[in-house]
Amino acid sequence: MKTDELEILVREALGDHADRAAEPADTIAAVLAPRRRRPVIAYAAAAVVALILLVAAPLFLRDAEPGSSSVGSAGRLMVAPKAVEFPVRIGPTWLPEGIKEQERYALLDGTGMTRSWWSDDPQVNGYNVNVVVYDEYSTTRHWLYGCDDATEQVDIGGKYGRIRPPAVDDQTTCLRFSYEPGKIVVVLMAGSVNDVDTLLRVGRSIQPVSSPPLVVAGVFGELPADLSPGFAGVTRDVGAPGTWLVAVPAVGAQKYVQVNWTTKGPESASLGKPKTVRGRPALYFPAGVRDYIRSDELWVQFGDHWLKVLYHDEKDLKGDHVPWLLKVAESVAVGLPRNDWIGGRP
Amino acid sequence: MTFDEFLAQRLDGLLRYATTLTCDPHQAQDIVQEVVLRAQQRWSRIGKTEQPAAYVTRMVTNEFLSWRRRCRELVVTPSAMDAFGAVQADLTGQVDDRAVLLAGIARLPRKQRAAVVLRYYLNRTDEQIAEELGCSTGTVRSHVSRAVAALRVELASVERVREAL
Repeated sequence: MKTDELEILVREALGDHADRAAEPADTIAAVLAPRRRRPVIAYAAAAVVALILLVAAPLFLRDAEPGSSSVGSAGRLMVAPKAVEFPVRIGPTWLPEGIKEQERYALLDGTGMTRSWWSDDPQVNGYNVNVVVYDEYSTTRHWLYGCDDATEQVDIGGKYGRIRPPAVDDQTTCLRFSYEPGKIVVVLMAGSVNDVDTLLRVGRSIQPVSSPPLVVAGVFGELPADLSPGFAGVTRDVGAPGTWLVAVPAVGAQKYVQVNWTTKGPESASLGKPKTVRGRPALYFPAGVRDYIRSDELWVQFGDHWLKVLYHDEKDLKGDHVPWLLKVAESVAVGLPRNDWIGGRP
Repeated sequence: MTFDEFLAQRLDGLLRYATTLTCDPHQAQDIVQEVVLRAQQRWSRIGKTEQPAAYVTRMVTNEFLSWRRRCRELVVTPSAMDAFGAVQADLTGQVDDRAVLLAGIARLPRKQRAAVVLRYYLNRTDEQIAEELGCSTGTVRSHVSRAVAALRVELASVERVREAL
């Protein structure tokens, strides 16, 4: 047996050892017990217990997907931070048949959100509808699709709007209008060439709605100095929901760090270089190891869930990003709270 | 970072690390509990260090080494050995290499085991391991190389049994 092979086996064996570790809850209880014996700080102990329950609560509020496994079978998850809600105030009240809401992401400053609907069935080549709502003066709205190249004027229920019809080389079509002063709505649609009528019908149906909020539980720990948390969302990727967080620079989009919490593992696991992160088996994929891997990636396995960290720097594609991938993966906390809008219609 | 934030973020990793060191989740829990209680008392100082997690991890390593010394025996408890599966009994079937290594790692002398865990589990460099264990890098390389050689022998012996059957 070659040394490399033996080392991989040793890493795997140590990972197996680690998987037998006791649950943190027992130790937390034991550590807190002496505090409770001291009445002076009894309130502090109670507060800590409440804090731990609070931060752990999102883990037990996972979306109840049919056929999905229980929390326990996912292995021990990291302790997620308190969930943050992003409300939805306006949205479409009509959509083409056969599509369901699969994804939402919000700017963390609360100034904008994108919602997306597509078919559950990957075999169905139906409509893909995206509705973006943002504050006109948001300083981070450039992270949302803006339909800025729309030029053809249309009337949206008495409001002035512009559309960009599909072209030969771009079969998407989009509509942009001001829903009310300071509030911009963009509808982006793909899946049916020249279907401007459907686009307009979706746009004209937009009005105040009562929809469950987007709920995100995630917080970055360490990040490169020039990046800060920008937006976060929940997406139903390959049938199961997952959370993602993105840290972005103040200006431009050439560099970012993205974290995904998902049940979908890496597609080319055999190409990954074994690492250990947070005491768990992990795989590192350098950019370019496969055509579709355009950024350095680190995947950490948590039972049947994966934490994927992606580091992209357009100006330094060949740089050594492993130290930052490890730091981000070691320090991020992310979970998947309940999101009742998943699979919904308007 | 407050102590409670530290606990929420790092306790899981500390328990897993201690379990790889001790090869016994119960002993690991005892060690981590002792360390965390001590860290809590000194948190005003530890929390201000550049890397509190590295500091507490080192406390776990030291506790493991001293704790084992206090016991004066390098014993992995029977219940822990049971958890490694019937490696020695199941010589007629396909013996999982990983299970052999699990048992082999549990039998390594404590410093060798710590060096192996720091190298292959925490991805530490020779210099970092030397600092953690309080020895030279040469000693670290010697610990790791002897441990790997011992594990290779364990695997080879099982291979010979397989061939003989």
